Amino acid sequence: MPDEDKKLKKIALLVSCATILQVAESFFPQVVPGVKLGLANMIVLIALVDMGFRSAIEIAVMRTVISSLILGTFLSPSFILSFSSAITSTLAMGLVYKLLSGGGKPLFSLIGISIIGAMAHNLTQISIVYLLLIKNTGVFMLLPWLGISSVITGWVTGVVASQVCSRLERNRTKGGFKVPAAYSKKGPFVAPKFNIGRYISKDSHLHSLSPEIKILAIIVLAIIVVISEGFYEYFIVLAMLILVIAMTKIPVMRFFDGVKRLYLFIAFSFAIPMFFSYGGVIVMNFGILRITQDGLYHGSLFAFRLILLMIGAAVLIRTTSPQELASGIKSLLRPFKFTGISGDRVSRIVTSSLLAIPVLWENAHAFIKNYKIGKKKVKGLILALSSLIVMLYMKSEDDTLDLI
Amino acid sequence: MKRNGLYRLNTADIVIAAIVITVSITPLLYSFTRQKSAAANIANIYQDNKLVKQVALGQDSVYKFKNMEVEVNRHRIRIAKSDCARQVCVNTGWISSPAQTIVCVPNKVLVEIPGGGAGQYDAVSY
Repeated sequence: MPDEDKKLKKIALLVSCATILQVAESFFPQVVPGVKLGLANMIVLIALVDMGFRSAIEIAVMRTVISSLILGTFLSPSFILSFSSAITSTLAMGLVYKLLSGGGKPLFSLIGISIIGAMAHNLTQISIVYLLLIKNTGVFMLLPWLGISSVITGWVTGVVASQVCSRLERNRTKGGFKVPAAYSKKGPFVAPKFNIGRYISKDSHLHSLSPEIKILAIIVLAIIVVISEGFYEYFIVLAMLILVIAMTKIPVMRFFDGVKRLYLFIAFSFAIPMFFSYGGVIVMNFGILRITQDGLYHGSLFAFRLILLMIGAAVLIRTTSPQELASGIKSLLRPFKFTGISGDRVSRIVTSSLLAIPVLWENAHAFIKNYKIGKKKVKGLILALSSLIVMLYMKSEDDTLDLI
Repeated sequence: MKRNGLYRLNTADIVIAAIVITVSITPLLYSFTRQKSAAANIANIYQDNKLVKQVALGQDSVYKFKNMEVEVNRHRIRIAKSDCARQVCVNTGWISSPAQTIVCVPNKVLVEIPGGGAGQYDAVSY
């Protein structure tokens, strides 16, 4: 296998690892919207040290695309958020890592770098939420909490990433950690089936429409929804979407599968402007919290906007298979060739990651089932997590894993 | 891969963590201690001792009541028109700082900019 192919395969497999960790994380309930451990970011950090900046940013961007294809959130609000913050946090980490490590001795250790990455991630998310979704300064009330949580999550990520990196180094020089045989082939365990995508096969005009047109249509729809600020336009868009949903022949309720995680986000977009708007007639009064007509109006407008964006993305995902989406993305990226983004490379990464994910998922599941955490709980958990990531990372360099 | 010091916690890490935590906590503490004056950019309008409207002073606007008109302009607020006999409220003119009020007794209307106990002056002597 030529070196370039080997590197592509490694990137694709690391994208799969990051995706698995991100998907696994999304099963846990979110205590505060937007606060997550960022396990996927850990893979990016490790790749930054191991493979350099270019590969790291490629992995960061591709894993948001692929996990959105799997979770069925491609081009939805949560995809826009994770996509943009993946770019900025990787840029921030890369800059700190490259620029501040002159003379051999780095200024920050991986812990500091990952805190900075988490901070960049959170700042981007909140700015995008403000610019595109909830145009109310009340969202910045979350900043202090996000700041504190990014120190905590960044710290944990940094500790685990350092452990993984030094163990990987030791392995390469001494070859200590062997991928156990039971994990490298299909073991006796039957892992829960990993559903890829939320595609529902039906025979309709919308299903046979080319994926490029559908992707472009959803992007245009999202832009219209974000620009216009009135219920009038929104009702027209809603009517159009209802018509389109009727055309797909898919039962309406299927469009709401797997969007439960977004309910909290919608409630949030309704509540923030409601409590932090002044002006207009007061509807209700609870001590310091007042609900005004303006607040109610803007709250429902922003919630409506989110729901429209969500339905639009859901229509695309339900009527287009991940493979079709990958080929759509590939041909839509063609005009960007001069920037160095190659649609061909993107589609190769998507295809091989989608193939690798079920295999890696089974491995991860078997590993978790077999792993025994020692007496010290916190240390044990961190060690377990780093072992899992070392195992997954080693897989990405495993030549016997024939996927491409 | 030889990355000396990259995997060990150092002072710079602790400094950046401390900076982020401090910067995050400061606005929280600030808003807890200065909650009163935080609301200086709004005005409350009471009628019959009940809060009926909360007006943002940052936005120029005109609010019409059944028999009076309240106007907001350049962070100030006044009662522009009233049907009461002596026009005391209209003659009060613009108010803009915390704790200032406009009162219209016949209509039982009070316009108040909330917050800041003492208002503009620290002390007054005669």
